[in-house]
Amino acid sequence: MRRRGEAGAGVRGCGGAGGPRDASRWWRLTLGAGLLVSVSAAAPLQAQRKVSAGYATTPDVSVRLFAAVGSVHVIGWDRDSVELTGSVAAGSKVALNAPQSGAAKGLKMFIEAPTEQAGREGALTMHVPRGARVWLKTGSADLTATDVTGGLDLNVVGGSITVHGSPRELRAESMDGAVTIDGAPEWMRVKTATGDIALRGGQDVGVSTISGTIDARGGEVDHLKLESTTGTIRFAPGLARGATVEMETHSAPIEIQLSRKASVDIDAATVTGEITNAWSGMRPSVGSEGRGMTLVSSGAPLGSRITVRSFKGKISLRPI
Amino acid sequence: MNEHQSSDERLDELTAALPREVAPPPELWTAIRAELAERSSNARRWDRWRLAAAGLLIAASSSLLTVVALRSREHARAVAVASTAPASPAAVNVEPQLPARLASAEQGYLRSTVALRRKLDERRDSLAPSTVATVERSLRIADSAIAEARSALERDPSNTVLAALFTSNYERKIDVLRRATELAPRT
Repeated sequence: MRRRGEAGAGVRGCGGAGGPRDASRWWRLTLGAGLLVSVSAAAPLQAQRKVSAGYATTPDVSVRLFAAVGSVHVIGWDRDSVELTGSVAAGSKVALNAPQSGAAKGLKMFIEAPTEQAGREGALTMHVPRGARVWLKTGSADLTATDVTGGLDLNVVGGSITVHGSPRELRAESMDGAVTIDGAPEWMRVKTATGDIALRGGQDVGVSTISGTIDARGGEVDHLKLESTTGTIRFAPGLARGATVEMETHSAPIEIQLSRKASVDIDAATVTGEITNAWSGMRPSVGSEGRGMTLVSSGAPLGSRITVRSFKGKISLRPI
Repeated sequence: MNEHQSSDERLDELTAALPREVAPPPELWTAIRAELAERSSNARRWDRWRLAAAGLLIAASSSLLTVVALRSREHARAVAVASTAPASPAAVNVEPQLPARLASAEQGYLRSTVALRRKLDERRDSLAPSTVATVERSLRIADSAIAEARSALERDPSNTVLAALFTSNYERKIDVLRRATELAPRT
């Protein structure tokens, strides 16, 4: 259970969690002056291996972390504090926030490795209040976020992104790393260049890639848009009442799996590709010049709609 | 009238007593109308000649320009056909072009692409080679898809599905470029 207002709880060396709200206020003021920041205060330091810092914060604190390390794990917890621990490559520049009096509303932390190789070493764990808004940017780190219900803005180049839980807002961008969202965020935007994307559900979801695959299965979707240039799109989640789903590709296959009982209108068109339909009895029609196909059905009572577009990618529908 | 009245006041009084309009004598109007009628007739005669000459000039110029344009287009088409053999008969007969709305959108996309490309090239050395390779590979894929969709659109400009795919391909390309320019050094 969450214990908001217990500032300082969880900051190592400052006692455990607990105590009434007045005591928490006292702790905030006291700890604000004497917060533990064992690696660095305000100025960058050199040749640090261990990182350990803690801050009393508001429950919805905004945290910005740039970290050139091997992996970062962000964990939402029931405390109004942020704790950063772990190790980084020797010679890294570590710039952390200075201790503050009172609960911090915003934190900025920066860890820069001396070389590209060094930027793949070390691991950090950052605990944040569940409702925090976290902006995290790394190079080739594997990012994992767990149990954050606030906002996540995650950006990697070569590493992977994995999110467990359902943040209110999630933006995840990667160049060639894979992105896996194991939850159903209210608002989500995921982009990769070549990285594969896996998700299950969400309310307002937009996913885009050049050549990565998109795999959406499980959970339930409300408004969803999946698009790729050459990456295969697989769609198999449930549909909320009145759901709208758009899928678009240039040349990749789009594989749609639906429940036989799904109440949904289909509007599928491919310019030069092919459509196969094993989900319903409706047969796709061939384009007027003998190229391309369309499949249109309407009249679904619950008003869900799936729109599919491809240039030459094959579109297939089949039952789950 | 008051004998102490000033000369200015007297002048004002006299001026106010003057009529507001004085009609010209009737014979003067007759002379003026006759003169105007003669000038108008001459002018109309000259105008007709000038208009006729201008029309002939425009017609001749237009014909000349049309001939020149058609010849140069034929020449360009012949060169294009020769350089892309074997060409289908449709390629010779159809003038390939995008609809105006898409052509305009493409100009915007191209401007964005050029600006982002320049920015990326400026900081290319600060990025990891593997990152640059990933970005370049993605851009090649995007370019290939754009070219393919564009070519199809030129043959079928009214295809709305194609038009949407065409612009989406550009937007994904620009998005990759934008994100590449925002990457941190050594990543």
